[in-house]
Amino acid sequence: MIHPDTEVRRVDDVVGVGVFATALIPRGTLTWALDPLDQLLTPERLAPLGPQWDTWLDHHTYHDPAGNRVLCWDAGRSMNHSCRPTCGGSDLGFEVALVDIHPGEQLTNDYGTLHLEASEGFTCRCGAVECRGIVAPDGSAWERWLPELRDALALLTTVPQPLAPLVTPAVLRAGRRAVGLPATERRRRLHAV
Amino acid sequence: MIHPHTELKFISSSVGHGVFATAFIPKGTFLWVLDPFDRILTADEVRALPPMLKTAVERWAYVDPTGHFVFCWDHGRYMNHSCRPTSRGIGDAFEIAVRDIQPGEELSCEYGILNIAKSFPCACGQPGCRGSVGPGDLERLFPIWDAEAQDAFQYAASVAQPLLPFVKAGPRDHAILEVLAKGSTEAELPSHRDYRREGVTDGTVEGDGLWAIAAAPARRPRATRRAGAAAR
Repeated sequence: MIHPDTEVRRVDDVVGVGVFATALIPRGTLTWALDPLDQLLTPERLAPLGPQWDTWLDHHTYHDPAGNRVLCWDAGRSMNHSCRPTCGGSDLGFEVALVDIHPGEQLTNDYGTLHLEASEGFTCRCGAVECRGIVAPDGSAWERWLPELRDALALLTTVPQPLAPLVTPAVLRAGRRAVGLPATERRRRLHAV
Repeated sequence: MIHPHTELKFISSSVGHGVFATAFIPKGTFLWVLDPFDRILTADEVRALPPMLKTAVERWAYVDPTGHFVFCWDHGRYMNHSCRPTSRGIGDAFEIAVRDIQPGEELSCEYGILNIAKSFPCACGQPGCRGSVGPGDLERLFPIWDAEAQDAFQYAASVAQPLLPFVKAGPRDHAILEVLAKGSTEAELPSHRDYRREGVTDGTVEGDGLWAIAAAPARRPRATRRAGAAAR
């Protein structure tokens, strides 16, 4: 579930819609949590689908580290990419605000952290100073945001957390531990989550 | 899945959101079909959800004839009720446009068919607005609803049907798909009356939502303890 102080707004004809803050969301706030209404689409479940679903899957789902696709039930699935994202952490089962997100600012992810397939690369027009120009499968994307993610997670208990009922303490603990681990170990742990 | 030429718009804080046409959609078009990603939940599954999610399901799901909650994955779940709706249900998996829909017009359906648990006041403002929509409306009005659906279905083979490749057909829907595949509309459609869930009567269900589920039955051990105390 996406943070309640957000709304979906049309950005433009190329980007489509995006998710915008309607109130200040301070750094360290849980901005999204994987919840029981989100659907985990395993390869077995996707196998019987015809090619008419291909575009739909690209638009509405993302890849988890274990090779499934995830369909968020709410505006979480409308979050856009930015090369300077305001949110991070998806593989942990939750996301956290990496910066203070002010009203009218967009909640974004680095899609490089979302296990893109080779065919899913795209030209980026996020406009960030750090813009990579092309977003493609990117093994180092997670490492890029680890320092920000660690700093944001350190603030978890200092800011209001409306999504707290959706994230168990065990998931939070596992997430905080995972960001401190070396990459291979972290990937192993996240598969287990 | 809701028709691709639609968008979600905020109407007001009392009504919430609604679904609006972004292009002309002709009569006979399927405005919504049940698809494999619409979530089907049992009452027990809904009861077990964290409160913030349970509220969402009670507000935006509907109940099918087997008593399951159908929670649409897309903005189809925000379609509002109208006493003169733009579409009627057919079988388990279709909503069909019963008249031409102009760009900017709101798409609406009939909540009286969706196994609501209690009545609600209606302010749709349409000619013939019933003022109150309740679980008993189906029994009284199904012949009108059936006739509208049957009339609209005559056009189903001669208009674009972008949603047909995505439908998850139920047992009552296969005949409809077979007829359409032959380019025909010669079919007697299932009646709205068959969509009624047994045991849904006005006022029997506690809770805030139209589709609120009854509180879980009292737990047995507690009742036993009380009985024991009384005996002593």
